[in-house]
Amino acid sequence: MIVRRSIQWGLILCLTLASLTGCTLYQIAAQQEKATGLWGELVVGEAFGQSFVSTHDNLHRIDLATATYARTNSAAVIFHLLDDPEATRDIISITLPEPEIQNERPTSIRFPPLPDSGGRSYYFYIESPEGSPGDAITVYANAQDRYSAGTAYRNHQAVSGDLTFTAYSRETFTFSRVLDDFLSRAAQDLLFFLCYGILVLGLCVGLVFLIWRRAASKKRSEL
Amino acid sequence: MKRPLKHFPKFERSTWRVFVVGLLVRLLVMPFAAHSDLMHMYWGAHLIAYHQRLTLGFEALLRYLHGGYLWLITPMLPPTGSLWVHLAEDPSLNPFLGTVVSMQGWFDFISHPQVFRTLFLLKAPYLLFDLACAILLYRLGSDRARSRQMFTFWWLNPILVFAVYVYGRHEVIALFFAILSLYLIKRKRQNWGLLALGLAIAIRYYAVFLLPFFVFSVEARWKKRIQGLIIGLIPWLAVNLVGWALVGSIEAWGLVDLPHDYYLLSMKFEIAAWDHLYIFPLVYFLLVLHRLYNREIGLQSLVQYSLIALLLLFATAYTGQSPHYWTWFLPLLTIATVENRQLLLLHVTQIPFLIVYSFIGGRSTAGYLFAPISPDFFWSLPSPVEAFERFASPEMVISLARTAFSAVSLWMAYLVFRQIKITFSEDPRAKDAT
Repeated sequence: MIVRRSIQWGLILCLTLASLTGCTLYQIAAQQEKATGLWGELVVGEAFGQSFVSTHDNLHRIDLATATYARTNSAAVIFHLLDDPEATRDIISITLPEPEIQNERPTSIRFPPLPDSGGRSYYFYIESPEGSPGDAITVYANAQDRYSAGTAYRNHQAVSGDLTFTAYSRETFTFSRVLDDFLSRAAQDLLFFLCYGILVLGLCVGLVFLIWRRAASKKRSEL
Repeated sequence: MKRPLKHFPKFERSTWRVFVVGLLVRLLVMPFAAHSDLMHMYWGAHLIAYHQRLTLGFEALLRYLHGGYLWLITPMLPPTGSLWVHLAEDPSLNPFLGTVVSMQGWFDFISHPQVFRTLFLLKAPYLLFDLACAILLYRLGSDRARSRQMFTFWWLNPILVFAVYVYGRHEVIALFFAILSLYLIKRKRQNWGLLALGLAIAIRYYAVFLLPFFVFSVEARWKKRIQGLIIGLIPWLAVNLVGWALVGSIEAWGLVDLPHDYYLLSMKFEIAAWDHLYIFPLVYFLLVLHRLYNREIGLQSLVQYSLIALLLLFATAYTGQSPHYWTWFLPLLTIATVENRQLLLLHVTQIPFLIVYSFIGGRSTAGYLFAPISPDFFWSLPSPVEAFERFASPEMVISLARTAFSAVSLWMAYLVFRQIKITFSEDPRAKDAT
């Protein structure tokens, strides 16, 4: 019984460790998640943008809160990522077909990771050259300036407030890296971990003793 | 001379096993998990302990309790300047309350080399209050089997472990005074019991919802009931009076400003403009009226009415952003499950729904909680919402779990209500209710 349980727990532990090996995760590199309203239709000649600072390397994805007015629009949307609003050259430019624009959740715009993005400022904007009234999307924004490292832009002119967005960077973690991180920090407080270890170990021994006593008394009563 | 401890029922071996398992679970999460709420409270406390900023106002009593403890453990903590980093010029500006500053403050804190020791020590008083709660509940049992069941229910309850040791909330302090109140009332010390409930109210306001049921269930005469209501409010009034006398600040103003007040009113029917029917206040007042007209008094009645009130609160009010609220009904449920085993199964059913409901908190109630272990890794972990939003609308999934949780809570309230002994009087002012 005990052996079977040990095997079960061992398998669970191995699966957990395996799942941590080499998993790629998204870190939040910049975020403004509160919205106070919509910005109006993104029609031809309009551009909705936001500047931000990426706090991590490998900037890889921007989730922008969009709305389609709960209808099917035909106009495509073009996403541009630049160094700043004055930059003339796009770092990334992606055309998003209408079906990719979400109404009830943010639209994810993915691009190849930018290796040295940590600490750098960026500017993104969207436009819809074929958008017309009644056939266009919009974005959620916050009228208050909640994100201090950047601001919203309308037609490339800074306006008060921020768009509702989250920028993600991509990072690969291995179990050994997480463990190393923990151990290196734990090593800086050995005294605590010594006392803590003794306490936890003492309790484990106490528990084993109580279980052993129970098993012994059960055996005695059976005899 | 009476020696109450002499009559203390001894732990059986099985209870010791439960105790050791529960203690191990608590110890295993204490140094490794935290939420910014823990630091929010201790930030106010550190201003009292190290900067002599003797402020009053909202949650003043709690801040002084934490401040006193912080001052006591200072030699065991890392250097004050490295732990409580003032990011703004105004030292009273709490970096754990806000938007941009809070992220930096929190990241600095969890990246501190001695964060594990700090978290362990900051949560240690909660462990003492938690243990005191478990012992009081054990003593509340009418026989050894019931005592063991109550102790086990409390000590192994995952909601409690999550709220107090993972989330790092101080709810257990108010819960201790609420349980002490029940214990004293059982010992026929009604006034002391109501005073203990008053302390719980002064610490966490939710306990004020229980006051009418405590008073009307232990006192039959109106004169005594009014006296009981005053006793129950004395600690809170005293905190306000001291604040007003010393710095002209009244805690009640802080309470009025809180957005949390509107959570109670979140479920409503709009009859017309400026004419809403708020569901929780409606059912709460109905329950108070039922209690008033019912002539039965006693501890059992007290527990039943109070538990129903809190179950109705959780079934109808917005609580998803604050999982620690769900601990409020645990003391009463602990006592009620002994009498009605169905409640135990229903409570077990509540837990998975609550887990899904807590997804509303995003990353802050998921991977972030274990960020002290490896800040970079745990800050990168997606929230459950991010994981399943590609397959289904997170809002719908969370709302469905919330709906199921409300259904289970209402059914539990019904089961408890069915057990209430009812002897209606024509006039609720009747004196011979005993």
